[in-house]
Amino acid sequence: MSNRPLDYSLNKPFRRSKFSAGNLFKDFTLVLSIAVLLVFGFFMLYSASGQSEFMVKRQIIYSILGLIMMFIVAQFQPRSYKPLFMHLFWVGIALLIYVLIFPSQDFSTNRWIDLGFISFQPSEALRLILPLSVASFLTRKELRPTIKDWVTVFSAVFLCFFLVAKQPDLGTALVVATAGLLPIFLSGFPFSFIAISTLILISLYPFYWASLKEYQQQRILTLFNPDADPLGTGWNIAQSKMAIGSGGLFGKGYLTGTQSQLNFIPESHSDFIFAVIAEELGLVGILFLITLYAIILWRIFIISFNAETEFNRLVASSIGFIFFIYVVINISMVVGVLPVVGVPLPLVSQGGTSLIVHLLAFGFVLSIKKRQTWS
Amino acid sequence: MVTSRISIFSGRALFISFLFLIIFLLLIVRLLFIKFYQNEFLDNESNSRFISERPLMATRGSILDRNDKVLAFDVRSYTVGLDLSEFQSEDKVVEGLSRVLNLDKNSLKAKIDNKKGYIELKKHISSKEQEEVNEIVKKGIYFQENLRRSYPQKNISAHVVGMTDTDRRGLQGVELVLNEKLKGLPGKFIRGETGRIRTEAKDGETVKLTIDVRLQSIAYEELKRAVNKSGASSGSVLIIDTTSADILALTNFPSFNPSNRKNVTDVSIFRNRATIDSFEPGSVIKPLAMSAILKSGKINSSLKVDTNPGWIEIGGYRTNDFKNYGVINPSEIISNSSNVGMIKLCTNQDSGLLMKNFSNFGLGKYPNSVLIPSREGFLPLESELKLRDKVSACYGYGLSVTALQIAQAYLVFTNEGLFKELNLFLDEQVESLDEEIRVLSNNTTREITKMLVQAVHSKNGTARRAKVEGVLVAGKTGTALQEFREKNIYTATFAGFTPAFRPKILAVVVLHGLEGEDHSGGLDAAPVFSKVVTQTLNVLEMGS
Repeated sequence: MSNRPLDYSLNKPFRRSKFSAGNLFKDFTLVLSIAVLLVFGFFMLYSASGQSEFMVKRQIIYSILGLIMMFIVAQFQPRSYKPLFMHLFWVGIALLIYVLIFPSQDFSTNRWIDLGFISFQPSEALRLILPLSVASFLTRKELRPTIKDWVTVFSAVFLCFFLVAKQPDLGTALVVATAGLLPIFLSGFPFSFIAISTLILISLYPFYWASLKEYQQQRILTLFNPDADPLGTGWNIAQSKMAIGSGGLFGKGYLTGTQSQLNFIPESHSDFIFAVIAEELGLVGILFLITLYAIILWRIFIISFNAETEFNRLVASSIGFIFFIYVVINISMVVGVLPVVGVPLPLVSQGGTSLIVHLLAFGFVLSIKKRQTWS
Repeated sequence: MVTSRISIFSGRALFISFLFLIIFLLLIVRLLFIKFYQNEFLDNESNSRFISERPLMATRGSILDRNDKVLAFDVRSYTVGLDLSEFQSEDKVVEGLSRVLNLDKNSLKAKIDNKKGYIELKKHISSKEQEEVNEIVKKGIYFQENLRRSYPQKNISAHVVGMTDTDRRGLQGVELVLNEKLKGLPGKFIRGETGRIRTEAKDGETVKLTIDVRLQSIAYEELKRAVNKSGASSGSVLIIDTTSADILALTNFPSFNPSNRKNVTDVSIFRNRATIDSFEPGSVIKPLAMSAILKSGKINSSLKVDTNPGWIEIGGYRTNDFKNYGVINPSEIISNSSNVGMIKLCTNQDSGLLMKNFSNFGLGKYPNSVLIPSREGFLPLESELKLRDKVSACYGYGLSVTALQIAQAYLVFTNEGLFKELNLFLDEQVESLDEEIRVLSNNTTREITKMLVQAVHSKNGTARRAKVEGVLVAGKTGTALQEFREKNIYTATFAGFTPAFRPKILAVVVLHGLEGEDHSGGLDAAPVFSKVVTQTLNVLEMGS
């Protein structure tokens, strides 16, 4: 570039100041919706946790932590972290093996790593690492993936699914597997293979059923007939349906839902917080929540479709779909369409790891958003 | 042909989006199904799951007069009880209890020692006593909160303020019409096996009336005396501040004590007669008719009317004057209350204009801004008026009004001919028509006022007994025959205002059910006006 004055002035619009608000937020609508959803979540968590200030404070701290990480990640160029993910995958696998070998003492299932000041679930982290690794692997060359590539990624996804399912956490295992399969499908895995593998899976189903733990089998059976045993395994679904149904159009009022405040809804602060919202704020509250989710998804897909490279497109859309899957699975669970698989309502349910991972994922989406040059 | 990566991606992304969208829509359908189709069933199910629900009472708003004197308020009291399984009987504690609750120490001790379980100690203790008891007894003491509506003015303002039923809903008067504002919102306390929800009650708002308790009680006492002395069955008195159109007093006799209605056998005393009882008013309407006649321009005040021989037959009915007044002018027609004179002036008046004029004064209409239960009275339709009905209307028969409507109509004479709605509520608490509508010209109003002054202050005026010392009074009597039994039954009315040409106070006195011939507005109602207004002026001079 020459140093002539004319060139300098022409190039001026390309120079971006390092810390303008526009750059920090990248996508203001997306960040605002996330913030509103988080705040809405704090209020609902306060109600759902039996008005526990401690729980809300902890959630606020996690949110701030997550938001900071989100803004930091958003500042990176996608190409700078792309190669990193092929290695991060192995870290994730290592952590999963670690929790299987050294289970944490305080929890009944082997999902947690306790670092003393903070404990987290590696399986939650993996559902972000896996799709990014797959996308990174499949787009490492300019050429279309070969059969060898397909086999590699499928093995990776299956390995993750197996390790998480072994914890045992079937719900998260399925989410992790879906998260891994999404970029594979999106990057053009042939339909003929899909058909064949579906057939194989169906034929393997009886063996899989036999390998499930008894309570997992129970949950699935309950789904098909929840009223058969309303005091046992059908309890969760029956109570949450009651809460939703009795909420009506405008709800019973904040902090006054009888089902939620009197602790009839199990796990009301985590997996079943949707039932609390439905009871206390009614249909209006649910529509508000769904609208926020819709805005977030809309922004993510806009970013994904406008992305510059294949990798960016795969990452952004996979994250969007995973987010969507979380919402759908959680609501299905609460209204009794899916078995109770322990999937939280994203950004609202209590749970630090899940919250931070979701916010980190949004960080990657924001980093993918095309830099605006000039208007 | 090799499909490019980007088109593969968009196709597949759209495919998944579409798939998810359908799943999502199905979910929403499921949700709506639960919400609306199973709504009622699930609501009942959910309600059957808590152990106890207790309402938290909201304090009902107070009703105050214009100087913040209390007309109605809620008294909070407590019922004390002891759970003897928890209570530890010590001499000191029992002694303290008997002192605070004013109970006999020995019988209290016997009760505590001999009984088991839960015993009630005393009802209706104040919150101060409750605190003291709480200090003395630490364990086993229970209080139940009660709220009771109290009306410190008792009979005096019973009809305006109204009353509440046992469920604390307004039944009458202001309590009824502003029930929503006064009642507040009760809270509730729900207890389940594992948790509890408390929704605090929201107390009702205070309502301020234009009533002045001092004037209200003057009016009530004078009315009571007059009713007892004259043998009337009932009566009403209204006092109006003419500058603001505020109702300062509205009272009826007989009345009742809203806090203690147990012994009431005749429920008619609950009726707010001043706004509900409509009656044929008689001569008190004549100034209204005269104003229409003056307005028509067909006569002037120097006109002479021959009322000989003191009676007239028109439309098949004979109408009498009290006596033969001979040839008189319009002013004398009013001051002597000559029916014959009014009939002669009215015969060639347009009946449409006459009725329109009455209606402009508020006759036949509900008093909108007063709100408390009222009747609109009766004003005949112009098309149904025969000659006989028209002339009858001119001296106050064939139509009916309430005492409140008479006050509303006479307010026009005090307000330079402008119609202004009466108020019962202070500070724009109730939306009212601020617009003033011209009914009479300034001149006509002045002419009528002069005639009304003549009625009180002239030697032959029918309203001589309405005089108030030191001020000029303008007013008109009315004596209306209500029914024939063995004796005739009359309603005596007086409406007037003072000072005549710069009015401050307007008052209306109505006495119903006077038996026999020695009764009239001039004899029975006018003296009440004089006494009430004399005292009212004294009170108002003192200030609030």
